[in-house]
Amino acid sequence: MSVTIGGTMDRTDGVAKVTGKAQYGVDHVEAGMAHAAVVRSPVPAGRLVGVDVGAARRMPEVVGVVTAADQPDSYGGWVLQDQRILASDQVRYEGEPIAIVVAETRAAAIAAAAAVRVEIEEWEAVTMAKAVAGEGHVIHPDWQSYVPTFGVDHPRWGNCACEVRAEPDGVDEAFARAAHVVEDTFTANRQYQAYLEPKAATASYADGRYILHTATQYPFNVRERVAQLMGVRLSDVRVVGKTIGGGFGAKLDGWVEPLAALAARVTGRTVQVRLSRAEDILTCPMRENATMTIRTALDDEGRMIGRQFTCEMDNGAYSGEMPWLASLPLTVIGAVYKLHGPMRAVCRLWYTNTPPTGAFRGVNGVYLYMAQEQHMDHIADTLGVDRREYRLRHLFEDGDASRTGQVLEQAGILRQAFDRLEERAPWQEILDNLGPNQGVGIAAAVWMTNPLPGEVTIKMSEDGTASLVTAANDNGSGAVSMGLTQIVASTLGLSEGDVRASMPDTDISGYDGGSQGSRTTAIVGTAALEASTKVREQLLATAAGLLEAHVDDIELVDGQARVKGSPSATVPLGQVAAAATFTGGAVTATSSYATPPVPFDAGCATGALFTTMCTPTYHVHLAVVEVDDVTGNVDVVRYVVVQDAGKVISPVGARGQVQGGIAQGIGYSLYESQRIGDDARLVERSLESYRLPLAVDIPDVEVVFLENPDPQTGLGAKGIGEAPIVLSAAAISTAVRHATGRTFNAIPITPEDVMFALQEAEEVR
Amino acid sequence: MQSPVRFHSATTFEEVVDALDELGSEARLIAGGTDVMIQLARGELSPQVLLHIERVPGLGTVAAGEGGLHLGALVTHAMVRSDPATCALAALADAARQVGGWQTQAIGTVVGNIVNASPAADLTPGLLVHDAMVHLSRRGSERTLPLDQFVKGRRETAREPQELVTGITIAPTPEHSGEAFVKVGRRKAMEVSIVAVATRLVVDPSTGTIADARVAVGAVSPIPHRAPASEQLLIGQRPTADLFAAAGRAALEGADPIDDVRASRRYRLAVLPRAVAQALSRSSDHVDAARSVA
Repeated sequence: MSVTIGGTMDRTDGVAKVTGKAQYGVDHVEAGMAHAAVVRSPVPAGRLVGVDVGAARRMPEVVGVVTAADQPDSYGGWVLQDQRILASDQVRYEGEPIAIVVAETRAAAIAAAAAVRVEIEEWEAVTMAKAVAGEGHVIHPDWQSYVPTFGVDHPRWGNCACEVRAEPDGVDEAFARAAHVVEDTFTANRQYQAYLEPKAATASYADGRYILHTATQYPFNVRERVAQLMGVRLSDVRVVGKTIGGGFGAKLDGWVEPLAALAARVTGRTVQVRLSRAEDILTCPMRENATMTIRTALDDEGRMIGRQFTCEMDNGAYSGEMPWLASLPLTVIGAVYKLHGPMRAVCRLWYTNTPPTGAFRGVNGVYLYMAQEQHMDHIADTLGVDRREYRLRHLFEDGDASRTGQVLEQAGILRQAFDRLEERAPWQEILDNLGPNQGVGIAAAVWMTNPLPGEVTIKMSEDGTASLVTAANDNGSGAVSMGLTQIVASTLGLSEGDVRASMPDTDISGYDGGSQGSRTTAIVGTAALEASTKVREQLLATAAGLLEAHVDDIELVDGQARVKGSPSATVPLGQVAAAATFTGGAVTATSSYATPPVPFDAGCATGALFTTMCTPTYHVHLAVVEVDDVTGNVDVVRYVVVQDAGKVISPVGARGQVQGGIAQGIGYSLYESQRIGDDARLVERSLESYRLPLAVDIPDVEVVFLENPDPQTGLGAKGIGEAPIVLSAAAISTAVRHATGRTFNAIPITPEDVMFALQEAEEVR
Repeated sequence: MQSPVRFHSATTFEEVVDALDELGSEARLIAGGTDVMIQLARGELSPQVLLHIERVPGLGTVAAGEGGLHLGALVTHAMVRSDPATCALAALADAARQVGGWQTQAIGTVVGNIVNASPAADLTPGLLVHDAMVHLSRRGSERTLPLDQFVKGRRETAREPQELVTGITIAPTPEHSGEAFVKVGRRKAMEVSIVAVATRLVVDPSTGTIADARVAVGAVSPIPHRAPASEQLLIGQRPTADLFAAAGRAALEGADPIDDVRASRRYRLAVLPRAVAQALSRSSDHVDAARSVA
């Protein structure tokens, strides 16, 4: 049966994954492969006095030991080049790599790594609280010499890795004439991506080139990081993808790959680096911890007329992707709901002696929307207006602009989403039917689709099947195994099983922006539609000759070209492809696509590197929670998502993304505390203490998709995968606030927080 | 490098007690292994021999007999929650239902849970309210100890290195009783208890007052223990929400919980009275339910 857009199909990688045949990064094996174990800093901060590898070198089966003395004198970094592969003169976080031991077996490498003696003069570690207060040593004494990767530097100094500042006129005047001022402060903990497959990479070095096999979300970014850190050209590095055992953003940058590349270069062997779960937790670029203050001036009609927002974000010891994210508050805070006046915003990113933070599905959107929506509830309560009603009164409409001056042409979808939610879950009815200790929360957002370019090549085989060659990869979302496959198969009239996607390979495929920011189905899908349309035209032209009919009269159905209205006048696509191949040449086409730049106000702020939301999407969520007054546990009893998807390509995949995003969001909101101690060490260090929610803790999420096609993407599709998590903490925290009558300023909301609030409330009574 | 551990799978009772007699503390007994394997992986144990007893006959049954219900050393949590003789004993069956996940329940044994002597052992409070006796055997002799004398401290029991715990006996359940187990954890499954409470009430049907009360608490001190102050408060009184709340507060006597990554001491102390009150209220409901069926 032909595959259709909006129809269901089996994931092309499903059977291999379920039967254990899929080859993940950790499964990669090469002849002559050796194994690495990483010697890591046992302390968060200090001067590296010495590394004695003598005993380790003499251990059985040891191939070699690599230290900072063996690494090139080059720096790397996604946005700012502040990293090297191994710590040399000082250590900046617990778990930072200091040496790499390579041995014939993993066990021998681990045993020898334990024999490496590291001498460190320990310093008092800098936490974010200290960095913000201007206390502690400067973590990067050479910060001034660091080179911005994209050429444009941003305001930064000492332990401040990035400062974004918007200082419009009139803020103080707005507060001076305000009828009410509402202020809230919030904090958010880190969140661990907690994928099934800890990071792993295998590298070899031969003929002046590095070849890496790794389950990365973004092969071209890994290529760039390895090239920077090894001091070679981009083309001197080849990255080949493997099946990804989950990533959620943590596998976008090169963390283990440079270690493997350096070890391969020094030892001359193919080297595999594979992290244990404990190492993966200790060094993972988690969603950052942050603190926020939001303060709004209201006039006597309850309109928001001015705002101040500050946000302090923990960068960890190195920057990775983070300097971009410091701009995001400008596109979130003050969007969705009309702010009839100026907003002053200051966002700073702080170096600390903690593991580098990084991208995690929804990035800082999760805590920014949590802050904005709890603040909206606080405002509505202050004014004595129903929370939903207040939101509706001030909702963005088509053409309203964010604080960066981006005009949101389709913002009216927000009202449509509230209307659909009302049909599904009528607000008053929910309020009237809440049980004891229950509360309801409601939240709305605009979110984005990552605009980075992608390329697709379609090749027809002489058997009538199609190869989908791309560096876009499936991090588990189904964006390639369903989304792209579905687009190609439906365009070419092919059946399930007749389109096979390649694994990414930077030598073979054009540039791809990685599986991030919901981009693959929408953005790479546009390239896939265009490439398969070109292939379709070639097939039609050849078939027209074979069938002696006009091109316009031919259709591709069920693996055949046939003359419309004449079911007997058919020719199998294999025959068409073969005829074309041996006459005019193989049937193949390549297309690439990147979202055109979005206009914005360049004067909106200083230091803003990331100023627009491309292919914006609109969302309204509703959560009903129940608080257990014995334990303080919060149970999410109902969760409804209304999400603008543009066009749903693959309904099963789309629904799965929403259910999964909410599961992860419930984890973020209620369960997953990744705390940083005053000593800058992680408090939760294993999956025993880091509480991921279980299936029994997650409700069956109700999903309503809106289809307002995007005017630019091929099929009108917009990004789906990232957005669901973005409102989870907002909806859940406002629901808990409603259930308890108390504001919870910290995410996650833990049973302890709730219990102590309940106790306080009882004492007041 | 660590020296390798020898794994010996015994097939007879004699083989086990002989091996224990010879090896003493160099042998570590293993049944389901749900605790032992984790402790081995963490390097907390380094026995010469893992002495596996799962294939030893005669230890895997729940049997009613003189003196009550006997649970052999190989009775798993899954058996306790499904066996007709135990599944109605809520203080035990609900605890068994909430230990770890299904995998743990399927292979983890109740005796293992006791012998492991974790302060958070989920089955211990329920066994305490049922006056459990622990049976130990060694070559040539056997003895029986009340459970509260068997568990001596965190990871510490009265078992001699040469002894095998062969089973537990719980006393017959009185008429007009109701019981409950309440586990406090962050998730609905796969949790190490932050606080665990088992209670049993016997209500005199003629007077409507509490004739006997048992309250046992876990994870709030090194050893799960009965809470006599709560029990004394309850006996002779009519069951009410206020009484249960007072009994809950009385359970704080003797509680000395730790602060750890899982929960703060302050939280444990806040939750304990509420969990006790909830367990008592459920126990009372179960008495009523049993009466209305009768």
